[in-house]
Amino acid sequence: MVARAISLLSRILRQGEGATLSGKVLLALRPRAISELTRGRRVVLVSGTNGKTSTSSMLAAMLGEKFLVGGNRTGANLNTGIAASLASTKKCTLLIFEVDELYLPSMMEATAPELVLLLNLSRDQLHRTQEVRIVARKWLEAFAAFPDTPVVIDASDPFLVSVVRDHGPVTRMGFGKRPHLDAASCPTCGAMLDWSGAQFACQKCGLGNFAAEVELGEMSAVERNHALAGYVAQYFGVQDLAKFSPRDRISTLLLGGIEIALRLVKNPSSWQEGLSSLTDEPIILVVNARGVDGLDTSWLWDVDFTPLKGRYVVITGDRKLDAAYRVHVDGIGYSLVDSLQGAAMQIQRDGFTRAQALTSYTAFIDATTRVKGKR
Amino acid sequence: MSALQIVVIHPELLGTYGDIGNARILAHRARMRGIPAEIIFTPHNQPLPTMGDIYLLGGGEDRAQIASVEALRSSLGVLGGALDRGAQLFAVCAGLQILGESFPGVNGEIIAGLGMVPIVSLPGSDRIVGEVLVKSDLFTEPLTGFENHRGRTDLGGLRPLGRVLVGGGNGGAAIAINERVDGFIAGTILATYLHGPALARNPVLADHLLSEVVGALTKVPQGEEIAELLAFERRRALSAANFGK
Repeated sequence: MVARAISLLSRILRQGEGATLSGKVLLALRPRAISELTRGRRVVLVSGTNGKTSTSSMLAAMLGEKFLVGGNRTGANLNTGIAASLASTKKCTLLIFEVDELYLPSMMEATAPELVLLLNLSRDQLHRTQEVRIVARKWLEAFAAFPDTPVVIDASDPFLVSVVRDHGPVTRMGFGKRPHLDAASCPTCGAMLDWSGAQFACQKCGLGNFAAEVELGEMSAVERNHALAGYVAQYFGVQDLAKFSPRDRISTLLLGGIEIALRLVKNPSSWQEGLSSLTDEPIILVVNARGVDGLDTSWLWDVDFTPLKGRYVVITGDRKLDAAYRVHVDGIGYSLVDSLQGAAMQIQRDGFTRAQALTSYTAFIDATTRVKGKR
Repeated sequence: MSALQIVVIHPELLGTYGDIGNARILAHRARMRGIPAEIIFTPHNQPLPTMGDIYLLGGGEDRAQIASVEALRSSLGVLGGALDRGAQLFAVCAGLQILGESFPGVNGEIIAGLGMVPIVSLPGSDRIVGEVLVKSDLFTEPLTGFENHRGRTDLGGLRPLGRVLVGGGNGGAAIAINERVDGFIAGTILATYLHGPALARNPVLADHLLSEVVGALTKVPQGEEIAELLAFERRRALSAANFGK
């Protein structure tokens, strides 16, 4: 009865705000709704700092070969978004949820997942998560409560290796050696990590002293996540993955007479990844600092913006001046505009038909829901 | 002219909040006035350069902060010597705390600081997170920044950097707002809880540090107005949000 009302409510509210609002109502009426609605069902949880939405979506496509897959596919990854997505998954034979880092422990408790996939862990929204090491400690405690739950991790991330260090069923997929902004010191014991070898190593507690179950070498973030999703798909019996290729979370928007490829970037590591995958088109940077974007824009100084040198750059967003001073100090020319629309119009006037935008979370959601609204 | 040496102390440990930006801003604002500047990154396992002009300490996580203070104990002579000959030390957040008598560790235990100043930092009941507005006697306009810390710092009689108009500063909500202060100034040490980074959001503060080393600065050249625009916009946004004006 409640579930049906929620289902109706969620259909009325549709996407965006509605995706979490109906979940709020459901959890207010039935605090244990997630647990009740997932009981006895096959659940996969995907968490990490970057790539949750794109990885869950790649994984859902792969597992769609064998299962009727449900879950939260819109980036609404708090308990409310997960609860809301459950309203329409009654017939699904497998549920894939992307889970916010801080909600992973409570969602493991609620869903007793069949498998957990961890992508990475690095500094993000520090006003909310405080320290990467605090998140890692919460994960460690969560896994201790589920000693038999299989976990798949990217073993090039010292934080993930540390979190599952004493866990039983772990698959570590190695992707060579990758620098990590937050791992100068060992996530387990605090001693300085040795990064001089082929892989990170802690001389004090031995973190990093393992052979990965699968070693694939260095690759881009989206390729790593595709490989991790592929491994999980095979775990669930989907063997033929040839037709699936790595897909980033890029949305295309028609605005002011040009086509803009929007890419979500939200912390130093995803900004760096975004800056390394630019095409020749003009570039729009949209920097906000609302809630989920991280309230503190200090991180802008952790990003190397020199890939923008000599390029056509337009900056907008609530905190465009913070971003402008940052790129200015890197010797990059730019122009400032008041909105994404304004950016598009300027780029169109200058004779271009396409542009690419790196956008903060809230700007990405604003822009992409506008597209949906227009259809 | 030999280049101005800006030394970033332990960037791999005390650099959680874009703290490297403070060094870049100092170098940029020196160079734009024709003063050559060089940034020297000194990780914890390397000796501290003796001839730095401005030394920088940034913010960091609890464990990194402890690793940094352990490494710095053996360099205390170098740092003290540099300050004695007039070098500046600009310290932010965790960097501020380690200069004092003691600061809180991972589980609130007391860790001995470097003892360079008589301040004491203790764990607070909650974390202070948000935008800050600080009025310092050094500058006409208030400074802005973003704070994110659990520690509460008692200055032991030292002169604060300024009075807190918005935010927690050294003492947090336990201190009445009209008595709340941020940071401290002691000789050639200037310390604050402000991230942002502080020198990016407050060009006057960056120029103050530079002028302490090289003397009076020429005025800001054309094409560099973005720094003031940003500082103005932040002050205005914070004032509007808190005082409705």
